[in-house]
Amino acid sequence: MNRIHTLCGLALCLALFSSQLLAADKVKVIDGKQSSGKLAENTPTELMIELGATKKRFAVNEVETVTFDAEPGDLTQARNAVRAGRYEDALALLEKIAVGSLNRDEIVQDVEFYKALAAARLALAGSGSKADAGKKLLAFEKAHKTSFHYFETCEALGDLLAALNKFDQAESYFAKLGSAPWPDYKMRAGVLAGRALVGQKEYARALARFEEVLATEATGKEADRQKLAATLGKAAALVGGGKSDEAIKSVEEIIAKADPENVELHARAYNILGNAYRGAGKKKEALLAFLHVDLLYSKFPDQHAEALANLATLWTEVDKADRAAQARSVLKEKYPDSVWAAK
Amino acid sequence: MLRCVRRLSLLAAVPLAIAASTSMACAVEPVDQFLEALRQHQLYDEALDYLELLHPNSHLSETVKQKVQYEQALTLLEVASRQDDLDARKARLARASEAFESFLKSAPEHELAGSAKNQLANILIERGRAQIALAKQSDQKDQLLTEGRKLFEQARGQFAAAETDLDARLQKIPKLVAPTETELQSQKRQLASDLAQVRMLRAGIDYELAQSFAAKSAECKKHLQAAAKAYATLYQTYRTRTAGQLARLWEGRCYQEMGDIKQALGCYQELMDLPWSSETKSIKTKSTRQALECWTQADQKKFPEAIERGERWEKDAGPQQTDGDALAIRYLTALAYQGQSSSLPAKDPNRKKLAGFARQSAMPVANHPGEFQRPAKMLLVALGGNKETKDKQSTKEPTTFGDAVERGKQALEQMQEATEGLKALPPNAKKPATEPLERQANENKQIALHLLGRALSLADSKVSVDDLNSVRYYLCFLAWDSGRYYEAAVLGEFLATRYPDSVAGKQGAQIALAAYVRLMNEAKETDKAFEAAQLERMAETIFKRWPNQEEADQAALTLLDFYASQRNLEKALAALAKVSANSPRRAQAELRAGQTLWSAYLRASQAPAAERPAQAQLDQWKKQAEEVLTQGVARLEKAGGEPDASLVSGVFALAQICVETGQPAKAIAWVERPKIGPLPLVQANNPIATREPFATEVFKLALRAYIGVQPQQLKKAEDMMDALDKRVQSAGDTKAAENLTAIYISLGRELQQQLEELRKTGKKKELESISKAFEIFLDRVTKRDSASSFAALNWVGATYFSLGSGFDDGTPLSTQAKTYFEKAAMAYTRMLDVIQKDPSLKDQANNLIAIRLRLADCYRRSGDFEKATEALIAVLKEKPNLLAAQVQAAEAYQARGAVDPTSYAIAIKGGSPGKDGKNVVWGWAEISKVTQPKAHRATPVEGEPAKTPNADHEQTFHQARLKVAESRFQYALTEKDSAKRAKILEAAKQDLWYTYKLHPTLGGESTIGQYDQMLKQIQKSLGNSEVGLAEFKERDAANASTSAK
Repeated sequence: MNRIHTLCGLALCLALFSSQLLAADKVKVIDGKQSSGKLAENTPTELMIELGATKKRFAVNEVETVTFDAEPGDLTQARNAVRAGRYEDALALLEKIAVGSLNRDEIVQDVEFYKALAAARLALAGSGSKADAGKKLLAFEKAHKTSFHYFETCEALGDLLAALNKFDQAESYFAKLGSAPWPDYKMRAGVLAGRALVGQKEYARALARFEEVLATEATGKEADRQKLAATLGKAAALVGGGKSDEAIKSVEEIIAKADPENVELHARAYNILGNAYRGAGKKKEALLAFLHVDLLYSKFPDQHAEALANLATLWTEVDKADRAAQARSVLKEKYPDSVWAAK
Repeated sequence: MLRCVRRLSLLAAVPLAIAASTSMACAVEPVDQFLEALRQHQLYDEALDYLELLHPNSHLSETVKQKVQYEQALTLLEVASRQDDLDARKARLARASEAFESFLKSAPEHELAGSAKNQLANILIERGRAQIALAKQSDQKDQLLTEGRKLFEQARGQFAAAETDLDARLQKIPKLVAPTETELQSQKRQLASDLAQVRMLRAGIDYELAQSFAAKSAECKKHLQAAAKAYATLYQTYRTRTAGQLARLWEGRCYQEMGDIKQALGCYQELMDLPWSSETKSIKTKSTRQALECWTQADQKKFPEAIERGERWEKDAGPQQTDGDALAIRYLTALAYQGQSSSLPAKDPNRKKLAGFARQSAMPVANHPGEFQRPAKMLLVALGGNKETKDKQSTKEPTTFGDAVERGKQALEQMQEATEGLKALPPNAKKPATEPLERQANENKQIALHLLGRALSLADSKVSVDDLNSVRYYLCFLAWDSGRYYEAAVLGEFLATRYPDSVAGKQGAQIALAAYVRLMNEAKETDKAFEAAQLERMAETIFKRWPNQEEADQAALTLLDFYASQRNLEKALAALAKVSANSPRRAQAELRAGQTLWSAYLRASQAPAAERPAQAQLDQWKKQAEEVLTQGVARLEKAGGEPDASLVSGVFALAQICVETGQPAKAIAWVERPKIGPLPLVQANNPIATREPFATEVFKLALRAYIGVQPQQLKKAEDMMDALDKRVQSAGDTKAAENLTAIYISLGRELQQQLEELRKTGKKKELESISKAFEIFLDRVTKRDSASSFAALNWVGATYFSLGSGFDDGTPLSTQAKTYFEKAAMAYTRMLDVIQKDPSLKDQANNLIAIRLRLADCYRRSGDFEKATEALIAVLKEKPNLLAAQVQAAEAYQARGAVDPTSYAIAIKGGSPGKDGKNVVWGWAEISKVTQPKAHRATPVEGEPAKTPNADHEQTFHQARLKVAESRFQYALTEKDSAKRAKILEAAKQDLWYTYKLHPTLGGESTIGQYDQMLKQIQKSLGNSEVGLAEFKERDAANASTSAK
């Protein structure tokens, strides 16, 4: 009996100790490992946590998430929702948090950041004002220049400005992103700038930007991802430049090799493919491509809105007026402020 | 399905529980642990990759390297056991089997050799299970069940041999082994473990066999008893060991399935009473689950016992246990609480309390995905709750993948319930009965589509690909069911190409293929290229992913149908080759391909000479058609069962081939074939054969065969004519006689085509033989009393006309042809007498005119122009604007020109003035005038709607213009004075020139050649170069140049 008591006591001690461990800031890196401690330093490029005398530093480009000791559960869920592209859910959760009751600046900052980011992403997809979202992001950028969210803020600002046709300003934010010390960030900046040029119909310049990214010697998972994104961007520029057949070949190769559960890649790839087929005058093939986005890869609002807008036209072209109306109605309902809804 | 899954999970525990471990750990890395972890997480591909990497690793000893081979095989077996798709499972089992055999070959003395042999026998069991499962979904149930049982018996034999071998090897090792002899000890442990395993598996054979028979049947019971006995013996042998405890559990299962709950509970009780420890946890859990199943059965209702045991287990195991058995125990405990609550009086306060406990037990199950989630949710609903909350929940947009899927599935089920309800209604059910069900089905379909679509957008990285694919498949099915074929194709193809090993992948492929077929049917005739390409691509994907499987056969059949409809013979035959010889669809495919070949032959053989394929090609198609159809029919006959429309059409096509190829006896055998022959089926009024025009065609074909055969079957031939007569009369059509005439004329035309075919191919002997056979028949028929009937005379007239045409090749009329036309004329003359006497026939003016025209045609063709023109003038006096009669009259006068050149003038300008002074016979010139305006209306006139040219009139116009020139040319040739002749020839040329000027296209492809030919003949007679229409083009160009100047 005594032995049982002893064991129970030991178990209790272990439980208490582990709960102390649980009640700490956590840094989860991209490869899945997690470290706990107190977030002691925080710059755009580096994070440092302390656990007793031990100090551990992390490059921001390797960090997937940072969660704070005693942060509200809604913040944790909102962060996950943003990562999963569910921005509306994220905003709803964040609105529930009483910021005044938060007693750590880092948590308040995180709430502000995710509110601004979710609003920006929603606005980019056509749900909400881009200008308002831009103001929130700018305010965050100005107030927290040392935040580890700095580069992500620059990226979202660049995207917003490009969507507002303020390409010069957008480029300056992409350049800020490119100033990060990591090759994959530079590559990402190149991809985003290229996409903005495609948006301006500057296809030759866009092609040059994508080629630059593709010529980068960086290796690794993230660099590969950016090269894939650049290849897709190049295909989009080729479509714009009237070289649809070349683009079709390239995108179909990417799709065939990609993991079918990579939603963002497929959403972008199928939209480019759809545009390429439309450019080649193959409306039914285009319809199938855009349907892939609508049915299988609709998680990312901006891509979904683009697919819906194209579907609305293509359904009409294949004599299915009811389906065209349906696509248009979903587009207007889900993404009312989108550029695609206005087309 | 539930039973099957549970059996798998229970049996899978056996080798894991009793197999001894041989460590692969080496100095470099902990191989065993890593491998086990990969398998536990179901990362089989990674486990196989890892083993592949280990194989050449120089750090490993030879024995461990051999074990790597064993582990590869074991991993493959695990993969196979988890495969839902039965065909894929069979393929994986074959791979695992090969791997074990390879291991045994390279390391026959390895300590795991015995275990490998057991696994090979185990694979036989798995294959047997797959066959039994397939039998439940197949038409060939008995065959598959027999095969499955045979595999179980084979496994039993192998287990028996392995047991003898292992026992003998174990006996050779001393009973007491010194602790220092570690290797011998390890060997002994492994042998003992293998022996226990093989005995356990052997005992399970009868349990497997029992599952292959209907529950509660004598055979099922017999095998369960045998299994229980074998398990009992094992329990006695290994009482204190895990193997013995498992045997006891299975003994209980056998009793439970036999309905002997008392005996079953005796077994479970013993196991449940074992002290709780990490070693006994699993067996205690499994036995508790089984015991709870027994107590909560409808005929037991021992709820207190179930509650007590369920709660005791919960206390021991704790809430962290969430495997299948744990969830089952909680659900069954909840059921017991609910049962106990319901058994109390309504006002008993404990009632509510017990219901609350039931909810508590069911809640964690309802929140946990698995086979009990749904029943637990239903139970919670049955237990009741706050209605308002529930309503709010059902209208609120789901926020998690699980919630969206669950609610989507509920809507899907409600949709299916409504659909089943609609099916159950009588066919004539009225709107008040159907409307609510239709509404329920449609509303729920829309809800399911929305919720499942929402689920996909809510899925995060934690959602398994299997769960995602289930949702994708539901959406694919719903899209198909809603007629959204583009969506169904996209989702189905995605599943098929990206997840071909899943059940959803295979089903998705079938939906995608069917969706492309529907899209093709919906597409415009001129715009089907996209759909055709998608269809071909999808079919190719199926051939590649599931070769030699039912899906590939179905895809090949779909392609075959498509190519057949496109008349693409080569590709249709290639598709036929892809349908495996033992496929149940092979016969259907052969019938389709055979008919396609035969149709291609018929079409091509009737094409103009320039477009006809080589005779050798035609003969090959015919031969192939006969062969393929014969195979298909034989296959279906062998399979038995009721004939269907495709089989009967196949037999008909075969009979047709035989008639057309001069094999009437064979044709009769086909057409009269018992059970499947079209004639007995039509005569028996079988609905698959009585549809029109099939039934009429059957009588016509039989008639031709009875006449063509030697000796002729005249009675039967006359019966066919009677049958045709009755069939037409019974249709109740007022134009019955007219219809019958049309039938006989078409019959005559078929005969004519056959004769022409024989003439074209130079088969004189067959030509004469068939003509003779018909002549004999017709003579006999004419001599009979029955020959005076309208129908018989119609047949006789049409057939003699056809025979005459068969011998009329444009050269001076042969005596044979002349005789046939004369006989035809006699028959039609008699028909006119019959009509005069029968008022009912007389009233059919059009029919009468048709016969009079046909009679005139017979006179003309037999050279009796006088009678021909007389008959035509008589018709034209009654029907002056009947264009067909005017054409025939012009033809008759032109033909008469050969003996009386003045008739050429009548042929051109017309003659026989009527009372009004106008010519009764128009002649070619007037015919061309009458038809020209209509032919020319294609050119729109301002203010008038554009009109489509009348194709028939356009053809008549050009025929008339050509005949004007031809008549003048023929007249010129009768003129002896060369100057006059040249003048007439120039006039003939001018006729053509005027036509060319007014209509430069000269009627297009179908007539331009004839104009060219005519002009060349004129040019030749004038002594000019035979340049044909080039002369007109040059003249036209010169005129244009002059005008320009």
